Amino acid sequence: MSGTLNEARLMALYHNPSAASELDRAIAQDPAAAALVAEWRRQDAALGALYGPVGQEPVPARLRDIILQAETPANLPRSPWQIAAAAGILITFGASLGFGGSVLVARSGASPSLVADALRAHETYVVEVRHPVEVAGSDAQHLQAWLNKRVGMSFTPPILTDYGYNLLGGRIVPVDQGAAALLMYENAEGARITLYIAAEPGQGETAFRFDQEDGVQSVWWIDGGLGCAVTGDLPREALRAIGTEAYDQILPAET
Amino acid sequence: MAVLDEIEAAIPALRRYAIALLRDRDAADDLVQDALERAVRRRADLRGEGKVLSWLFAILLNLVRDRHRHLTRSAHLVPIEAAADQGLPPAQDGSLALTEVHAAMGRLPLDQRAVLLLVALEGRSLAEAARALGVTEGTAASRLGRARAALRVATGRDRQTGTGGES
Repeated sequence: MSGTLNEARLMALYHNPSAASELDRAIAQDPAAAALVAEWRRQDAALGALYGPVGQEPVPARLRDIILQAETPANLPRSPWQIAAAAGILITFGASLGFGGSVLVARSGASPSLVADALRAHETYVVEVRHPVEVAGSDAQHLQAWLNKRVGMSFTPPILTDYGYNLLGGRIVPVDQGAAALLMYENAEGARITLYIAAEPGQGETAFRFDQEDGVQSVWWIDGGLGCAVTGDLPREALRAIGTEAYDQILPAET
Repeated sequence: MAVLDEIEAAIPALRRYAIALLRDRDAADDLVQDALERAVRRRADLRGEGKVLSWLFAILLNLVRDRHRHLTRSAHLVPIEAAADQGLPPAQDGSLALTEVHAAMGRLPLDQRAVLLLVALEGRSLAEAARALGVTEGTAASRLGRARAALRVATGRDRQTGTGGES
């Protein structure tokens, strides 16, 4: 430096966005200062080229989940009644699981927690008379946006009216790694099925698999980072047909 | 809710900064996770608008100070293979060789790297960087000066008369 402007002063100007014109004046009068600033700009450009691209990457799910969980009031049971109801269902479910549960887990292999969570969510909410869902299916756009945001993935609640099931709506269910969506459908007879959708990052695709528990059966699969399970008191072939229809609609078209 | 949205919007910048600072993606994401959890828990403490990003950097750097002190000493031991993994573009005329810069960054003490990345990569002002680091502006400036001088030497540009990069 030639000494007319010391380096620390120059640096303070350079790193003060509101001093840009002062910096320009300073380096216009001082070739050594100009050279130094030019060198800093090259350094900054190199650092940006080296480390900047990370900022364009998708945010890992475990980081996004922290925000989602903070936004999710569903993480907290809302009333003593709900706590009692949830606890009761969990106890009966746990008691009835017994031997069958271990078979279920062993057979599922790839993602036992997915189907166990799906079955539990189904059992918990399908019995709900007054509050089966948090957001009604009649508000489809809002429902989809809300569930996508909470789960952190893009998907479309499938329409299953061809099979006689109308979308009642959906809710968020807390799971180990954030939040999953539970969509509930009902037919004209009041029979209900649920579609459980959870992010399954890093999991490969699977074929359709079946699991059952106490007369309730699930068909589940993983595709495109989403684990899905259709659960209901239905014969396997009916479940497979509905699962195929749901599979076709859930993920955005790829072309 | 608005604060949560701002925190969420800051995650890419926090990751970018943490990965450049720690030079280890897993450690960086662990750090960002801890910082986010702390921020979410304490978001009611935040006062004033437009300060979320600075506040998050301060939280993150507090965690760094608590947990990553050893990196200051072992920074020169961090392998530099990461640079090759990033598919670095070659240096062009007048620009610095990126692998050299990455290696030089690895040799900087953590506190110097912390301030340099805050201003150069994240575009924070020197005053803001000093606040996030919990030091005076003078201290931040002196660390920054040393960091830039070290980079200048490491990239072969430390010549008193002209830096030779203008052509």
